[in-house]
Amino acid sequence: MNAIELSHVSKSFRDFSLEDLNFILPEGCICGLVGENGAGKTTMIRLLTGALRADSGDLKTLGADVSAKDFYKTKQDIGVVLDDAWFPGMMTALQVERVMEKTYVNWDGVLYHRFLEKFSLPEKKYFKDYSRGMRMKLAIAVALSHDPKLLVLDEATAGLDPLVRDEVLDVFNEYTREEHHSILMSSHILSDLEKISDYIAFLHKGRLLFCEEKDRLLEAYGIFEGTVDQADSLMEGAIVHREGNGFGGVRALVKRDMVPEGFSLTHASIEDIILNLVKEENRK
Amino acid sequence: MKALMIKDTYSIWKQMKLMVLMVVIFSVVPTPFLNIFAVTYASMIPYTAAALDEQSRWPAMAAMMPYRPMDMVLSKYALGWIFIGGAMMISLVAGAVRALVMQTVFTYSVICIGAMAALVVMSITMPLIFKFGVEKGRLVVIFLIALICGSAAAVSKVDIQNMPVNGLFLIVGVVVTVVISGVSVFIACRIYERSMR
Repeated sequence: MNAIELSHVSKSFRDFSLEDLNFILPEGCICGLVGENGAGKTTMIRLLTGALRADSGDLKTLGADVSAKDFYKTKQDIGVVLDDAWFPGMMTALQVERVMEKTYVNWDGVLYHRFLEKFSLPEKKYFKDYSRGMRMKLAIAVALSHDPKLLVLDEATAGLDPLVRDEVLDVFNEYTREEHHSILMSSHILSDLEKISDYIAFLHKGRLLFCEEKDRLLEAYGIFEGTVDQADSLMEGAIVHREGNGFGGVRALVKRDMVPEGFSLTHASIEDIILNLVKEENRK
Repeated sequence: MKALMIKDTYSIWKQMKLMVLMVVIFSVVPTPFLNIFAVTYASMIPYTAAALDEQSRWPAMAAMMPYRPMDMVLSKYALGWIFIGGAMMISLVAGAVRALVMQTVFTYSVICIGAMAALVVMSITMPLIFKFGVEKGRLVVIFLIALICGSAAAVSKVDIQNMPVNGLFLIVGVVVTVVISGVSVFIACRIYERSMR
């Protein structure tokens, strides 16, 4: 069973639309969802969690049809962390627990308290008095404390300091050690995605440009830095995006298999790949 | 639904305590306007809960949790029904005690009509809250409550206790209120489901 299956999914709004999305997240994998602001990441997340209805196409999450009336039962197995939606401000972590234990059948109070301790979250402080980082940590603690099979994280590490972010990524990594546990994680912090993702999905202006294995992406692309003449000598299609390096030369993202052996290429990070792809798409 | 009602109770705990105090004070004062206001004020509680939800964008998160649309809608109505019922009971007790102490007639009719009016106000405005949000919906609520309280003098003259068919009047009133409430819940559910499209 795939964790997520989207087939020809479209959704239109007045000034934006998601067009013909085809996406599969295999069970047991972590997929990083990237795209610039307004690309449609949150809309895609809302669609596959049943918070929004698609105009057309088939959506399945954890094998269940998202448009089915009883899809709310499948949400028992989905843990969600959102960037800008929270618990009401006048609640404390302890009160959140009392609500969640009535919400989720598999709620694990012991695990929840363990996370509260691990993330140093005060139990009786009002949510409105939490810092942004603390809110994120509480949302993560809740999402992980009801034995979810799928974690959906929308900018879950935003606002966390580097130390805590590292800790949280380790928690996510540990979570996927169970073979039936999957994660869909959208983030602007591409280094986080490079660290833990198996797949990278790139959304641009409502279209899913690719969903590839991270390692294959890293092997497929490289960074070329050299003269303009050298860059011009490369075959058509080898250069994905090029720009001046400020010293009269060229810096370009290239496809390794289309570049002759004599050319020296450096490693392209996921950030390099995505940034260059976005720039090229915007240039078109 | 139980989880959502617990959440709302935690969320509005401070307002709840203030509301109980105001209901008691307004019920004790022998003025029809304030007696009705005591009960209709309780109908504002679901809007306060909805406003706090909107502030934190809780509905966006709740839509991804295992709550049915009916749970999301009915939990707000249930909150209002419980508080209106509770306010009515407090008002009836306070009114009875006042009548006993001051040796006056206990006119429960005003409070009963006020409670039914509060339920009808809630039934009219809750679908608007789900459709347009709390800020716009709340304006309508305040207008309707002002209208009802402003009509308190006329309402207080409806002495159903001495009417030949006083029991029938109440029964008809309750049935009409229940029907209106049921229709309102249905409409609000449809509005909520459509908002996810």
